[in-house]
Amino acid sequence: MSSLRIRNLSFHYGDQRVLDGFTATLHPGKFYCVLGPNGSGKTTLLKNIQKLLAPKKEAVYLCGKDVSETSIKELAKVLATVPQETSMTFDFSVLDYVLTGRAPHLERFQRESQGDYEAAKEAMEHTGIWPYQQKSVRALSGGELQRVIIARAMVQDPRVLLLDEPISHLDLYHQIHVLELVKQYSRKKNLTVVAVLHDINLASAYGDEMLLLKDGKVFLQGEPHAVIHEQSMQQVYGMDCLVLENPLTGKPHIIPHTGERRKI
Amino acid sequence: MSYFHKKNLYRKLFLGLFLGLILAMVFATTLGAADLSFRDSLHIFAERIPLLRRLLPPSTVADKYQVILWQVRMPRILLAATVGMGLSVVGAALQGLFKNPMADPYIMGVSSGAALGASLGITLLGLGILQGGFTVQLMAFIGALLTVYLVYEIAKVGHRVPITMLILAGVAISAMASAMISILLLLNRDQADQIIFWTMGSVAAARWKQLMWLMPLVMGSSLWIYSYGRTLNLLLSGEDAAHGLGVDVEKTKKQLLFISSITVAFVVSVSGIIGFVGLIVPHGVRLVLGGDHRVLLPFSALMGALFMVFSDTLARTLLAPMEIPVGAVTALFGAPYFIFLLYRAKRKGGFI
Amino acid sequence: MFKKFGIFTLTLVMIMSLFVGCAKEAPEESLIETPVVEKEDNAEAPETPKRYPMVIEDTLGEEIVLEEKPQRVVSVAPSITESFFALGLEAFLVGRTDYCDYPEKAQEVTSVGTLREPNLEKIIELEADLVIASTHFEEDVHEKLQELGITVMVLNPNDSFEGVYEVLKKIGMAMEAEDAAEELVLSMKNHVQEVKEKVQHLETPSVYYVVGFGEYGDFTAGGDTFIHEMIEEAGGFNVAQDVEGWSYSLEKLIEKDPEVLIVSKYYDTKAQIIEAQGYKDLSAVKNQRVIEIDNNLIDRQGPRLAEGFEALARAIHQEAFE
Repeated sequence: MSSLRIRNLSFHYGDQRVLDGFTATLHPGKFYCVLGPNGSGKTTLLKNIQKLLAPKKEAVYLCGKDVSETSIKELAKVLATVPQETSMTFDFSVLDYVLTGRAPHLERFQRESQGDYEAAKEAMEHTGIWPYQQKSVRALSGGELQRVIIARAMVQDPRVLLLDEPISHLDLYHQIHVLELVKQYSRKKNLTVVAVLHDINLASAYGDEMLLLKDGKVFLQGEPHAVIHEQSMQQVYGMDCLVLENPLTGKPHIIPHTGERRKI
Repeated sequence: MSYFHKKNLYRKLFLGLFLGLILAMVFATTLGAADLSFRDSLHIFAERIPLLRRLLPPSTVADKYQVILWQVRMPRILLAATVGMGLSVVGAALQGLFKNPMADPYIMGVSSGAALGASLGITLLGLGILQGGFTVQLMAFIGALLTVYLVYEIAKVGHRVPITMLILAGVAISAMASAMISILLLLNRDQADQIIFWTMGSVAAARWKQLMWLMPLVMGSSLWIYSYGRTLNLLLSGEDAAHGLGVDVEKTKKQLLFISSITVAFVVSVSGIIGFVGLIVPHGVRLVLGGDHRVLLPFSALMGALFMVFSDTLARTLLAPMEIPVGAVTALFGAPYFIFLLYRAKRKGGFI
Repeated sequence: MFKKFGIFTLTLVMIMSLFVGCAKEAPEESLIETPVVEKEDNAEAPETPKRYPMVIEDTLGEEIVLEEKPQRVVSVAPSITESFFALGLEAFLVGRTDYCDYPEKAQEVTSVGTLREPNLEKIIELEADLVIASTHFEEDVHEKLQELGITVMVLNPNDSFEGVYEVLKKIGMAMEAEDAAEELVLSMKNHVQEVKEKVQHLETPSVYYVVGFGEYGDFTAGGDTFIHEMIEEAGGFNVAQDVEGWSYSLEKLIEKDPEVLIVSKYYDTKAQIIEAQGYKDLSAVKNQRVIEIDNNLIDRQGPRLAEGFEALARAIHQEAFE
């Protein structure tokens, strides 16, 4: 069974068509990267999957369930999201914050149990933030915070993990580190990861499959080699690039033509 | 220290404070315009407890003091505690819901609507058009609910209810209601005193019959709101994030607003408009115990009850035998504290 | 700049004071009060001396000048209205307040509104040549009427029997009805004396006079009030004499537990109070000694005050009073 199936999803903002008959099938255990220029519909796509925007009937299926007919709580049991940035207005301790990831699995009057605590501990140890458990979330750096949020997503125990540009604001070390974490975790739990990334090269290095969007539709879907090449970059981004093979990973690596060229 | 680890501590603290509340209420029954000693007061209480009664020497306390304690003081102390509880819990919840530290239980114009209803009731009763002693309460209740409904309808945008719109609509409707009350006051000078008295809030007219339904109602809704503690924490982290964790944000807003409005409408119809309690008690609790709603809500309930018992005791003993409306006492405390909060906010640059 | 402003203001003030001065200028008449004619034999058909213009000092200490006998009088108080009817002067009454409901015939007179805010247009429309006010008369209304050139006389009994008699006498004087006034005052005095004699040898029960009760507070006649005096003179013991003013508290009432509760017969007061939480446990309620009286008799401090005094005595002593 596919973990995420999108059929002919269209979405308007006013009279602007942002998603136009979007169709894609995603399978468990794979790391998908969603690429595309601004306005190609990436964020709208994620919002539809999360049901932050209401998709039409029979347009989005998550683990076999029609999203438009599923309750928000049920959705949260299988779907976790890591947003780009989170503002911490609240003075939670890291432990309490991660524990909130258990919320979808708890009833109204139910309290967090020892089992929930263990799950949180495990997730926090994986992400290396267990030493900070009593620290206030407001006292964390960007990188630490993003790891906390990933830990929380893990604690949610989802089948599908959505990431909306999760590393754009992080330094180089943390960018790599976070992606590594996510990749390991998804392998371990056989998750479906859908990550919107701006950095095409990082996407290429970590993603199992790419989805390249243009004008609200899937332009190309497939392994990095099949999707990232000079033609597709030109057609989708209008960019002239040089596409090489990354010597470390063997995956495609783009080098855009910048203004100044070296004189040969 | 995280909430998870402190749970037991909080439980014990809650129980302790609860006992403190009971003691405070017992103590409050010994104070009043009539001359009743502490011993006699305890004696009267003990008589009601079947086991203790046998251990006691026969009562030397006159019947009339029993009447004073059970029929005059006890009901109003209980009413004060109930009102304090209801207003504080709702205040805390709305502060979280509106993400606004200045929010209080009357933010949706409930107070003006109730006051208008009550003013109409008083005026029409005074003119002999309406009959019956409870009608002012009923009118106040209807006024409160109608106002909330009106504000809600105005602020609605499709299926969503933007918080900013709610606040603005509340302000507008409040202004309108206040204007209408002013006109009523002008046209009915004879009832002016009563109207003003009502709006200042009082628990003097506490009746057991009212308490019979008001107490369970307020306790029930406080408990229900408490169950939203985790959800409120999530909402404060961001509506989208809360959504991602399974919170139906719009539905939750509606549910919380609904139960808050009903609770406040009931409280206001019985006691008039007692201000500042719903605003400052949650802030006070936050200062000491932090902003986690699973802690904030129950402790606001307790401290609110305590605060009101205290204020009411002052209200009826400061200038005895004359009674100050309890709303005036809470304002006397509340206003300076509110200003203090503003100064803190200025220095810190905003806080929850 | 400042200098200009100062001069402007000064000029303005000067001009305004001119106006004020003009308005206040009342015609100077002889200040000798014309003597009150004694009760004489009708047979002697005396030459009635010229009474008017007459100057009467009202309760506020103002000298009211009556050029001629007032023909169209507006009363702005129930006590004044009642006085006019009691003195047989109803023919001269052209205006009354909404509250002037006694005697019944008074309701046929045109109403000018309330005591606090009588409708000025109506008063002018009625071409009143004299307005008599009593309590609750607002100063700005007073001034406004004077500005409009209407003669206003304020007669306030000021919480005493003597005061009430004074008011009646002054009305009598103003309206050429001194005889009627004297008669009425005498009969009232006799009435009061009768009542006092009756209660002299009776027991003195403890009494609480309900002015107001319930959620808006408890109000009664404190030790410094007129009603308190009357209760004491009527042979009762006012339990609320330990306070001054009107505020009391339910607790104290229960503590004092008076033998008799006196309530107003209006607004269903008795029915409400015997059912009310706290009040219903009072001895007076249990022993059915909650007595209704027509409080208007007392509150209005008018010609029926002696009746009110008797009603009070009856309420206090009940059968023993007969």
